[in-house]
Amino acid sequence: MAVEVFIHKMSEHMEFGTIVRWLVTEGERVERRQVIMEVETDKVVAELEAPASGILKGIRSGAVEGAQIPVGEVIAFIAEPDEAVPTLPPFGPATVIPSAATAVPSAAPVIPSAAPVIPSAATVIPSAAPVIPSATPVIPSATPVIPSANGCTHPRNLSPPAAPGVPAPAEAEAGLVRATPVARRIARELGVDLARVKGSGPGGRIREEDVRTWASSHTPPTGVGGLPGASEAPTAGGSTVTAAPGVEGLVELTSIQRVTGQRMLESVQTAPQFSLTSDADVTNLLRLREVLMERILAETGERLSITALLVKIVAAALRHHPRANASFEDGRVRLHPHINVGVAVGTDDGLLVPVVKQADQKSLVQIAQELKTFQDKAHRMRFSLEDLAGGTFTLSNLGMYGVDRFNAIVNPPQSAILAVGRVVKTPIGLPDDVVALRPMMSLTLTVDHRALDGVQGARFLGEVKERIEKPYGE
Amino acid sequence: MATVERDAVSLGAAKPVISPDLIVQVPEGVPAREISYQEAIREALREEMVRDERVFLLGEDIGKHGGAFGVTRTLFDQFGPERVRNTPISENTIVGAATGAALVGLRPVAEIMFVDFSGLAMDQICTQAAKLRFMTGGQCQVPWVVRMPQGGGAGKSIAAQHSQSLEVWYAHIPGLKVVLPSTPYDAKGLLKAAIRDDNPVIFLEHKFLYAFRGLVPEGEYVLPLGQCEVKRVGTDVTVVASGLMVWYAMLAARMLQPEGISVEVVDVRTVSPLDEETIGRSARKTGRVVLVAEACRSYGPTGEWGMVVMEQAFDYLQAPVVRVTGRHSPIPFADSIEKGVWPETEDVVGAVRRVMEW
Repeated sequence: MAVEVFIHKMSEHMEFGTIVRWLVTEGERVERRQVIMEVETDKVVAELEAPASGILKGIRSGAVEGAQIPVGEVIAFIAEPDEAVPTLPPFGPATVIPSAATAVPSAAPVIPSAAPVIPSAATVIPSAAPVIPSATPVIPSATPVIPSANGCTHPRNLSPPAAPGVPAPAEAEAGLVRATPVARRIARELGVDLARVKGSGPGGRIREEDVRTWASSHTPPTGVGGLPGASEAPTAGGSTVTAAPGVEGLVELTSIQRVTGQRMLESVQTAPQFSLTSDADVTNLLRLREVLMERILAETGERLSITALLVKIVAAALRHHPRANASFEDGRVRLHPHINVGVAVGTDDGLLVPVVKQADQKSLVQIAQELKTFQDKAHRMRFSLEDLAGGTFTLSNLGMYGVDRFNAIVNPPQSAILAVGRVVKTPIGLPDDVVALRPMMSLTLTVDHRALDGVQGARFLGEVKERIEKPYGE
Repeated sequence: MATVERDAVSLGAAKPVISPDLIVQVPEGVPAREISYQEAIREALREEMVRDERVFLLGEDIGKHGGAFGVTRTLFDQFGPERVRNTPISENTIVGAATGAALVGLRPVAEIMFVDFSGLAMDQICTQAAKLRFMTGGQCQVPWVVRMPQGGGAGKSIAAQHSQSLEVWYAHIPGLKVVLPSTPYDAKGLLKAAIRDDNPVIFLEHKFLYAFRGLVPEGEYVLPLGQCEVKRVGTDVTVVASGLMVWYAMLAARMLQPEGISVEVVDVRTVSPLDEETIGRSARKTGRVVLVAEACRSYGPTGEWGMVVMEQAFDYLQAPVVRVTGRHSPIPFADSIEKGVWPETEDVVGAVRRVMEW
């Protein structure tokens, strides 16, 4: 009995997975739990395990590297060697949506042979029944084509498949995107890739204003050249994005960047945020760090970072200020039972916030170890969803980049975030009117006013500062 | 003042009616009279017969009787039997005689009592009159007008052989011009133009528009053939219509105004040659088009107008082109089912709302 292979829902909002690469090929024998594919979700690259042992067959046409596959859609089967498996309709062509300049402006893709069911030459299905392209023209108004059902849309951030012989049927792609004729024209004129525009019309149809809105919010910064697209000769793959890195043009966002952007937008749009700032004298903290450095180095192989100390300090302070370890939810503040401190980490693909769970319960060694693991994972882009989930407070340290102070944006659904700057020897006034140079570090706490008001925020920040300046003791 | 009131059932509580004030074509201050569509046609005939002695009329019962629809009333008394000629009941002969007269230099205006009967004169109209100028290399011309009442009305029960709208039969024939006025003002000005045109012109009159009244300016005026008129300027939707349907379109526009939908109404006026430019310009302006014609749907005028919109305005369309037409059916006699054959104002309203949803 053939077992279906499909991408599982790996997080609450996951709807698609992008195939990063197949680790096995059609006809190969696989064992249950063997990793057969790497799939990328919004945040992580996950491994897809074979659900059973047997021969991998019936790989659905279009399920190629770069293809965006809906969660739950059957990709292939694992069956007995002589067992026949169903031939499933192909996913939409796994090519980049052609630039708006090459999109065919036809309301009804009336080219019978180019109806969007062409199996790509590179993934011919060795099954009994050949897939016959529909003879009758596909008329969008009669049979609404829903891109999600077909699965394959613009693969995020991946260059078009270099495999020769993979066709880029522009007409069929144009037929998959529902847009009014005027929207298509404006998209052509403005060099907008319709696949990236969200339609506000019924059924997600793209209207003229959707294209214009997208175009105006995606204009390149001044100093960079004009939009590519209509005026550019389309490349072989028909990609809208042809700019070399570091040169003028449009830059594709990674899905991490995109999701981060969306969440930050959501954060500023929904949470009324304000910031409190304080500069802490880290003389004592640095001394503590020195004292503990050797031991930490011995036990973890890594130097003790300021960030690790801050995680422990912040976690301890949060114990006394549960409102800062909370989420505003449906008009009420939900206090979280655990203190899970997220630490912002920059990666090649964007900003991620892996979480030190129950940081108040962990020793400094444990925290340092975890942070080290996070750094390693960041390099390899190997965070698991577990790593990134469950944060209740975020700490962001940009000191190593030379930033003196900054305001972070609250990471929804959390209520507060602490932004830390670099340590700078600063002249400060001491109690007996003496001016002395002290290593000072800025602390900027940004708070969701729905969960915490100024005084509550100030008290929390005050305790953090106190613990930084007097780190000894509990 | 004649008004056409639709059933309360079909129009709902407010019972808006079609009334002359829906279409006003004469600007304020210009001396004008309010006359009926029927009177306007008569005035055009009279004025042209006075202006040009080559113009004469022929048809069934158009003499003393004044015509089946009263259009030629008083003309027999004014111009006599040589210029207002009763004919036998033979459509082929009527048009054949008109064609012959036109070929030798006269300018006849023939009347066929119902467009439904014109099939009997097809050869004379389509194969002879339409072709002769071209087949003789311009050596002769056929400057006639054949006037024919067409169209139907719910509840009138004039049924299958007396209610058709057949403008596309003639619009399809190169060499013929086809005119379908919707108002007294248009009827008079376009008929004068048709009579003065050196080509054979099919002049279709909607028989239930005869009673409609409207302002007509004093003094001489002629309207150009081959030009649409934007009867109502709007910004959201273009409604293209002809004949009686223009009134439904205007009423629908008035009904939609309070909802904030601004409807532009384009009256085709000359079915052939079609003024594609005006239709295209309007379609490009609004991006949403509704086509309304009484003729039955299949291969009807809205098909042609729809393709013109595609050709002229595709890249500006915000919604698919929608048409409101007569049903593809012989017209029933029983008024209970006759009602379902033709478009009503609500159908136009519904179609406009549909394209606005896109």
